[in-house]
Amino acid sequence: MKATLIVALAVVIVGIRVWRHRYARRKLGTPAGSPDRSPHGRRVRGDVELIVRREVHERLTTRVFRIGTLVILLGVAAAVIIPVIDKGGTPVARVGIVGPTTTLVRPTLAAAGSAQGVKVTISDETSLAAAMSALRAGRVDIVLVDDRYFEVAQGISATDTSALATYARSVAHYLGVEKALARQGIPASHIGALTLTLAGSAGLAIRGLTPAHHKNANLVTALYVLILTYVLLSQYGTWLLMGVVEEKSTRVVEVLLAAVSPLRLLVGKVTGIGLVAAAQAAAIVAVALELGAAVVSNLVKGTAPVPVVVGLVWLVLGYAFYCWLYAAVGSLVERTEQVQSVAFPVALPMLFGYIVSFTALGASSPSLLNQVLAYLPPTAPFVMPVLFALGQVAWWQVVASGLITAAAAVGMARIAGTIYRRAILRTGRRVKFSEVLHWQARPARPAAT
Amino acid sequence: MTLEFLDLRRRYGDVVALDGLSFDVPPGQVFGFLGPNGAGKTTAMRAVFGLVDLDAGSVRWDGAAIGLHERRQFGYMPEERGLYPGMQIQRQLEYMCELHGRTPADAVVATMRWLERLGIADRATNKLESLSLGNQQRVQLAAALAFEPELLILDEPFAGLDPVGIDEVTAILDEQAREGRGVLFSSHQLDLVEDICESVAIIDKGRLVAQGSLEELERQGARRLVVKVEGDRDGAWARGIGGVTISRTEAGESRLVLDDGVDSQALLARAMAAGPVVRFDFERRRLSEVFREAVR
Repeated sequence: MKATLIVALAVVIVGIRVWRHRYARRKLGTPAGSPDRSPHGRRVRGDVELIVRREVHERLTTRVFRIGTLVILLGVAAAVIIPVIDKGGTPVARVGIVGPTTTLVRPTLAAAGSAQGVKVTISDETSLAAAMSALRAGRVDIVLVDDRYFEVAQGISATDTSALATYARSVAHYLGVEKALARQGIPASHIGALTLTLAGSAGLAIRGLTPAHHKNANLVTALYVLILTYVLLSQYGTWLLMGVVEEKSTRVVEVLLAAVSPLRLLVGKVTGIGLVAAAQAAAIVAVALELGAAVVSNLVKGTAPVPVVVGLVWLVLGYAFYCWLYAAVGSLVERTEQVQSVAFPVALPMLFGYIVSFTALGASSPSLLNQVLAYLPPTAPFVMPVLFALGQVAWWQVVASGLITAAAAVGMARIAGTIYRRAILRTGRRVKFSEVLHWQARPARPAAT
Repeated sequence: MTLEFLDLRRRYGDVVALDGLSFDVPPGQVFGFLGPNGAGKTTAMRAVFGLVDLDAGSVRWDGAAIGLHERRQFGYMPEERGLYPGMQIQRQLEYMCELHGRTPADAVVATMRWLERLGIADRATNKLESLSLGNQQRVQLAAALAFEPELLILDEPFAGLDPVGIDEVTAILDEQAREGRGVLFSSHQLDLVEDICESVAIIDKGRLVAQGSLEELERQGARRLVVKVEGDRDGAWARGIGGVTISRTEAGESRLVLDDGVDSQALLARAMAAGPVVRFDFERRRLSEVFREAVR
């Protein structure tokens, strides 16, 4: 799983580098490009590369970033470790037995517990009714009925990775194999050894007094992906917004635009912050997985690699869509005090997608609203990965929605580029959208003439 | 190579910022760009860097249109400055050098050379915001100079500098011009402009109202004469002479403005007749006078 994540991250980074290199190459032949060799033959860095490097370096070296990343990592670590600590000590499986059993049953129940790290206590129940009563009252966790099947209080889903579920599946399997061997007339003294060689044979059934929860390990994955996507997209969008505002309010943008075109400045900024964001997101996932593995957390142990990778891809798509929007509104602002007023409308669709996605977590099938929002670019980065993790959409639907969002990101980039170009040099007051979106919009009068 | 402003026009609603502005900035000169507030100086300077969309006209460099490639060879210091407050000074200058097409190694060398030249090398790793305003101004100048531009365009480069800083910047601009670069700068400090510029352009309401070498401009207009006749405290000897106006009398010295037809030798004779003449000088107009007349 970790290898998959690393490969995915490497592909993203290499893809960005190749794209940037080709983009810079295309521009070299035009006056807008930069020569790649100095008169002395030494390499000159391209303008976009320089902007990316500056963004990455300045971001990584700020105290705010380092402390912020540390806080997020600590939060993730706490989310992984606390449930394990809270669960406390060795898990216990209290097994009740009703009806006749073979001599192999009790040793098998105990051996399966040892293998799973579960402490097993066995009690004989006087009748099926008494056993069911004990099960409902929580005095026992699992009941073996007539050596034919197991009964549990709540059904166990195939993806349930709790200690009891794992133990129940294991012991049901072994007892099933033993019964199959006994039917073939194999002596009880040989059955123990043969059981191990017959993996794959049908085990005993496990019945639940109530159906299995829809909640499964992927639900946890979906929840984590959703929270991570919302928190990180909000954070990275704010970085971008503040970065654009800083350049405008300090007038450094005027010096930069004397040497770089507005679009290339914007692309460099978005890419640089995007790379830092990708690195931070990768660090968060890596810490979660490493810690999860170290403390044998059910939360991480059950995390399927595909939903995590899909979640990260959607994080990238979400950034690709929202980064332009944040940069565009940042160019409208004159001072940092005005940031809040322009950031809120951009944050609204994110918040909406985030909240609506929570409703999907508790549903057995996606609502119509969720199905629609899963295809709308502003909300798809939140809704679609959740639906996918819960197994409520097919892979082609994820791809289709991804393509729609990617196309929308390209369109958003074009609109944002226009807004940025028209607004970034307007100073003196906050610029209205209507002023810069007008077809024949012209730059306003500079602060001094 | 010459920078040419050709018939620049720019209107913001009812406000005319540039109204057919045309003049040339020759290479190897410190060229002053003067005008009252709101005359259009900053707009014209920004037009060089494509930061203003012109209604009409163009700015040309060596006879050709200016693109991004050319602009990267120009050093620019905007009026409101513009560097990253929280970025290390050295990294900031290296970044600017590389954005203007220098290699990383060249950028490092040039940055340290200029920081040392401006006396702030010991602050190289400090953030810009930790410097005094004067030193921030020095860093801003270094950002415009470090990549060895072919042309310098500086909007109010002396604003906020102390006398020592002014001397430093003056020496640097002079040096840049002697190395063959064109140096165009705006300023309201006319005495300073008079000291360091060879030529100036004066604009008002977006139009050129005077242009030329300082010598030409100061010689233009009516002749001015300073005369001191011993024993005459208020220039009484000059009163009533046709074509002669007494503009000011101070400490026995009379400043006279002569019409075109006035014979200075005849005037000298009249002064000598009034008493011993201890001073009889033709005086050039000060730039401030040229400026005031031009924008009146």
